[in-house]
Amino acid sequence: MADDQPANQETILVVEDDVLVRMPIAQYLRDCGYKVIEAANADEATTVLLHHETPVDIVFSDIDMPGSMDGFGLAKWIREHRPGLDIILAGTVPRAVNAAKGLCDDSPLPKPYEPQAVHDHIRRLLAARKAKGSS
Amino acid sequence: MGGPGDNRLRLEKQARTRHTVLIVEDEILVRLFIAEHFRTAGYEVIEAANADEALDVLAHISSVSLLISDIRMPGSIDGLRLARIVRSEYPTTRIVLTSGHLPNVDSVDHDGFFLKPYDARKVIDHIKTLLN
Repeated sequence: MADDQPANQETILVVEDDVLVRMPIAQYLRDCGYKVIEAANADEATTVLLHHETPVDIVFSDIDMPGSMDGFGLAKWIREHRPGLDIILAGTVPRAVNAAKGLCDDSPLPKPYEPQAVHDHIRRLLAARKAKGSS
Repeated sequence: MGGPGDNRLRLEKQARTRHTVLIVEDEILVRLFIAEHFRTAGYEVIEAANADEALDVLAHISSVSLLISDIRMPGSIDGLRLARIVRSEYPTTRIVLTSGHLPNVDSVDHDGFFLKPYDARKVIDHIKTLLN
């Protein structure tokens, strides 16, 4: 593993089944200074959360994905198995955006999103968590 | 503010200054392990979870210097067929294959084969010689 990373580098798990969407947002977030783990579906994401040595700080997931779970399923799984882990959802379906309320702290990001909007969301969640941790 | 399209252009620009390696591996923990090693070694890394994703990437990013692909993968094509397509459609892209078993890799033109579990440092050493 990379041993020259700063000790306080936050880790973002990006879950997106379209490689042409996943690749640029993952690269953008790496350029912002985060350690980024890429998962192509919810099953890969749960594998990372259960077995990978690096603790994940925030999950950023697409809603509409093939596989055993979509983004909502993943959000529910996280609520059950990793309570306290923040998840940001992104989706194109208006119905999905409404259904996501209650599963995550913020409203889902509508797709297509600007990378900066994703980064703003992440920064806000990290800042809120730090404030909660220090209070 | 840059959109995803701008990001793609930026990736293209980066690929001109640093070698871009496309890793194709369906086992997430293996993929992120090797991707991390390659990034630490200074390569621009693109991760694909199967051969279909790899072909999507190759169709949009023109400067992939090297493909490192697992052979046995779910999806419409396996690593051997992917290697044949890449050799034919992207002849300047180097091809390294990996597998947990010993397949008949001689049936396809490639630039290296590593049996899993492989030592990431040995793979990187091999790739350095291929790309220099």
